[in-house]
Amino acid sequence: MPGESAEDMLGRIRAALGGRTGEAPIPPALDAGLIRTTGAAQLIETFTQRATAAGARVRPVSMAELPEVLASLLRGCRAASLGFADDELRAVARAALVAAEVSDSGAGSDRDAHFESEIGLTDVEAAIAESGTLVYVCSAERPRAACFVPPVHVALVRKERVVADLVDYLAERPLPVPSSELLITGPSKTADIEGVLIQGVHGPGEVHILLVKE
Amino acid sequence: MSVTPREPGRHPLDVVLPYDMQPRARAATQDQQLQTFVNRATLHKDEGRAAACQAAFGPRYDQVRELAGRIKQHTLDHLDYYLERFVSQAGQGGTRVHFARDAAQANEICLEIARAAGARTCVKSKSMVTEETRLLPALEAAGIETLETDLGEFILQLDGDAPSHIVTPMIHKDRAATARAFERELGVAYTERPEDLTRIARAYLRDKFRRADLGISGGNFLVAETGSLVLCTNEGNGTFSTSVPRTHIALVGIEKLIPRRVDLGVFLKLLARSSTAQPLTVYTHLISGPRHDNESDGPEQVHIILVDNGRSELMRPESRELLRCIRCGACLNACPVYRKVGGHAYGAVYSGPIGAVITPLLKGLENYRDLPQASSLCGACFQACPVRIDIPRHLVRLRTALVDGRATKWSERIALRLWAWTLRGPRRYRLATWLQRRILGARARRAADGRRWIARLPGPLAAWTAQRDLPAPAGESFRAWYRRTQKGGRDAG
Repeated sequence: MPGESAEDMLGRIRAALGGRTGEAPIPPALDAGLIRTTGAAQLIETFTQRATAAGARVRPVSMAELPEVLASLLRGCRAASLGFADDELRAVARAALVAAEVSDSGAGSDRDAHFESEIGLTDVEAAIAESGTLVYVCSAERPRAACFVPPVHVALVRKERVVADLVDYLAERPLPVPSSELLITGPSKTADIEGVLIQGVHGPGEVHILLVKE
Repeated sequence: MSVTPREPGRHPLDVVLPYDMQPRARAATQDQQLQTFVNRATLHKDEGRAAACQAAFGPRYDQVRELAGRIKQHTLDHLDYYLERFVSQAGQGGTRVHFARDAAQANEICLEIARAAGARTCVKSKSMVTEETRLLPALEAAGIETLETDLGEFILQLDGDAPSHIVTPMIHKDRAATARAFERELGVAYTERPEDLTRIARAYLRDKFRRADLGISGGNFLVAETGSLVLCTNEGNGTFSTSVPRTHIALVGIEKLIPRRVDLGVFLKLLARSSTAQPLTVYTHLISGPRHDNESDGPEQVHIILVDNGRSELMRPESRELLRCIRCGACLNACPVYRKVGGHAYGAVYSGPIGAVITPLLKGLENYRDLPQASSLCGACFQACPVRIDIPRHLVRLRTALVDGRATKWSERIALRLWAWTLRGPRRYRLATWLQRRILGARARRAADGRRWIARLPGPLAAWTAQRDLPAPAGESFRAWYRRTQKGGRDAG
């Protein structure tokens, strides 16, 4: 493999630093009060407001209402991609697919299948109130593609998954970190052509957030 | 289809050294699109940034950016430690890390990985480092069909053009130019509607994403604690490029390191607000290795190429602070000079105030003598910087080096020496200001605003008034005014 060794690179850096620096330096203390922009109060209201501001469509749904809401979102679709770590929510989503006669295209490892999907149905690892953000962490049950390849993303978010601030999510995750964590804030956007804001460039143009209460 | 530039004209980064900024700066001031749109867009972004930072942090904003600056400075002060830690942590997650001394090595590594993977087609997301290394032509020369997937970069690629802004690459182009490029290169019907143009690009690139064997990206941050690469995009092309193809290569500058995962809490908030006034970019992707065995999709290989390319030179104590830069573009938007001349006038990958200091340091001050002068030292860039880089101080430092190195013109040196002599005695100073009032005052004309202006200066001074008017000196000196009004004041009291 071309390139240089780590030691070559470190050597130049150390020369500029005037020698090897100490082991395990202590970085500046992070004052959470300073960087936190949202408190724990009115979490759901804040999340709803910020996600809406980012262009997502948020609605509260009870478990009982969920099949009907999913059925209306799946109407006219032929194929969907699923990504659920939550067994109960996955069962509801699967049942909705069967009822609406929509095929589950994300079951295999065929990447083309996700590109044929018209809708991605997922749960989330967390949601961040401060910015109206969804956190999608991939796993065996959650293929990466489900949340960003289909043109519509429907996220089922249990209310207890909502945390106040980005720092809360970052601090809470145990090590080792997952291979992919995607923080999604509203639909895909661009303003590259003369600053005109357009949704749905490469990622989904529509993001629906169903806030699930017991 | 291979997308090779067909529009005539040289690539904006192909410049003759030493670089003379004047021709492009002058052309820019006469370019209507640039003067209206770039000016409006940057003003709008600058106001948006200030409002978003205030809304989020209020009076704490200065403390937050002070903290961000300190974390970055700490990382740079211990860069050897954090680099080693990153390499070890990334390796544990299955990422392969490579080291590139310069642009040529970075491209070689990239091509070698692509060859080994048997890659024929590549999708690429926006990366300033790959602009530094000119990776795109290298890939195409190796027979790997490569497409830029950021909408702006895609349009620039079709035209064989280069980005003129770190965050908004095609800020210098309008919808008509986009329409022409799409009609010519993609064979679609001419349309100027941004919605339609976006839909055309989406459909075209979606097919490329689906088939590509290689994905290339840059990186916004590297987390030493976890070995993670963090990528911020709004369109989602970064996530497509890094998650769909079998192989992912990221080219990242060594200054992108931060110590801890929680530090992202500070930097992601500042980056999104400073660049586009958002609380967070639409897609903020933390990638910590290839897919696990039980996962059904994602890259089988993740390679990170750590790129030096002059950065270790900037690590010297006097310039180390400049490596704090998180490439948010806020200083470009805040700069009155950038707004007037646009990015290409800087003749290098990095433009605006940060470009004016790092380009001469990376590429030689003797090659970019004009850049440190392309500033009024108003300090707007320092005010806008989320990691508090004192850019004006570095501009002055470079100007001092120019004078010390006798890189300035002899006429300028004589003028400055004369000025220094004048300031050394009160009598000389009084004589000089009297002469100035007499000579310049005679040339002044009263304008509609009631103030007096000089439209043209004689001799070598004409260069000053070629682009702007000079305010006429006051009719009397401050000392004379002070004597007169103090006396009057005493009489009245």
